[in-house]
Amino acid sequence: MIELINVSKSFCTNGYSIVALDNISVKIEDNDYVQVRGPNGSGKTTLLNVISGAEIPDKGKVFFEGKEITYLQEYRRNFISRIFQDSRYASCDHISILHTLCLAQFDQRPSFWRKAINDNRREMVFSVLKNACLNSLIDRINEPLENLSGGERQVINVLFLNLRRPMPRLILADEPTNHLDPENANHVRNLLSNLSNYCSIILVSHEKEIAPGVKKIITMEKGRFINDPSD
Amino acid sequence: MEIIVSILNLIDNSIYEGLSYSLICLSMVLSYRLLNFPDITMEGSFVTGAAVTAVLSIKAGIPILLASFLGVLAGAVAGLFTAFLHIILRIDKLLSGVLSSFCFYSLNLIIMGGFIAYGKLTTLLTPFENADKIIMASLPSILNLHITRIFFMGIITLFMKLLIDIGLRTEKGLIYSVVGENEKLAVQCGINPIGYKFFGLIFSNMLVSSAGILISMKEGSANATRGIGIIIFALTSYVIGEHLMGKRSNRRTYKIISHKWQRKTTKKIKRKLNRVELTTAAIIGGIFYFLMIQLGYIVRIRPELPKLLMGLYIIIAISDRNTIIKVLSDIFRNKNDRTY
Repeated sequence: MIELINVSKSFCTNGYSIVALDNISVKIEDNDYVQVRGPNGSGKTTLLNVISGAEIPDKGKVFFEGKEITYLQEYRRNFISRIFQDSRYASCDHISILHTLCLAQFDQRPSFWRKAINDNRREMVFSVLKNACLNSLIDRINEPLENLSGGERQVINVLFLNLRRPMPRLILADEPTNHLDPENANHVRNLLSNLSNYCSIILVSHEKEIAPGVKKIITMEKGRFINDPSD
Repeated sequence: MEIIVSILNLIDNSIYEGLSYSLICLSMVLSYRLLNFPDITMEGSFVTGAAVTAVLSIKAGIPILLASFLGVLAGAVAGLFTAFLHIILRIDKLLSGVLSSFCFYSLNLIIMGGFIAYGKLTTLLTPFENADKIIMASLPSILNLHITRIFFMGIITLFMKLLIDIGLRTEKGLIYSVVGENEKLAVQCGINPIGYKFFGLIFSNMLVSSAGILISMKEGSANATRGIGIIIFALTSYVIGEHLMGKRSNRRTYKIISHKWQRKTTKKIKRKLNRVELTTAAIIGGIFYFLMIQLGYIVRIRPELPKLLMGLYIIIAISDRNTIIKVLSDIFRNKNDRTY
């Protein structure tokens, strides 16, 4: 589905040049669940940034279903979603859980004539929360997100992607289980493995254990792949 | 009897003034509160609407309703200009507002000169003024009420308030408030936030310019310097309104036990105003602002003082009272009780 060919990216700060990605080629198919591992500074986050379009590579090309999208940053918004390490990075403090999860169900062209919260969406939110065994959140559904802990917010962020229609084709998860307690981390991992049935996921983490449902593992060091990702 | 009359006049005046300025307060909800954009453009667009309307109706002889509509569109241009500066040219929020209000100050002078009076021209308010005169003729002469004019202003305000309230409940409305708070979430939904920012600035400046038109008609003239300080008024009244509305949940009670100030230990319940209350708070804030100013005139405090008092009120209202209470409680506490 998405393919990187000979991508290089380096940063120049204070006269020092740091090579973040060094001539990398990788191909991610539909419904792949890839875990990228490696020590700090090995280029994992830069890889995600290049795929999501947050950064443009110095060399190389990015293809989506045969179409080159190296410079099409805006275009990727339609099929790529991200989960960030900081659960507050892409969520709103003053908006309630219900509103956030209903927002996820909007289609690409929101209307001025449809209500934001209707019965269908409300039922959908409740059923998703029930399926994920998050009854404590059902009781607090009208509370703003600022009342939730970091872990609960991360769970909401993953649920948000679960509810997106049409679903994003590719999810980039950047160390989503950092700072989380084991219970919430488990919730996030299970939700991600559930999501991998519908879309491709690239999960970045430096945990040694393999997340449930992972189909491929890439290990990175100094901007290169150590193992062959085609394995 | 005299007291009752003066109180009636006071309430009537402050409601009339407050309602005529309320569109500006409503625009604060859209730009300042929801879009997180302190929009200084209103200092320019407030006069631009009035200037265009006055010039078109007086000098060009265009019907007043059409001229007002064009005046509102002129306000939209001001908002569009600010949005262009901020979003396309990537100038800082405050600076882009300052720059465009700067530019529009000059433009206003070019459009109308310093001052232009409606004279005997029939404005939108003239029928209501006449109706008020007829009503007042049957009442004692010391009463000076604006009954039908309040009705007219109230209907316009209510219409805009309901429009904003209903609009915010729709899909686009929810995305609008999300864009203001954290546009990354909107991007996660595959939505382009730029259009919403443009819309917010244009619509809020349309509200400001329509308020400018109504006020110029109320005063019988458009004045180029009328817009100066309007942002201060808007911010002040909005903050007052939010404080008045939010008070219910934020109220803390204190007991005095044996010469000690003691804080009640219950945790303060933090409650943000929901979106319907935001617009109500804005309108109430505007009315309360003028109530305070009028009250100042009635009790005959020095004319310089009302703004100082208003400032002090806001400082007390929005500052962190926990610190004050802590200092006070330390003063009244026995030396033996001190924990440090």
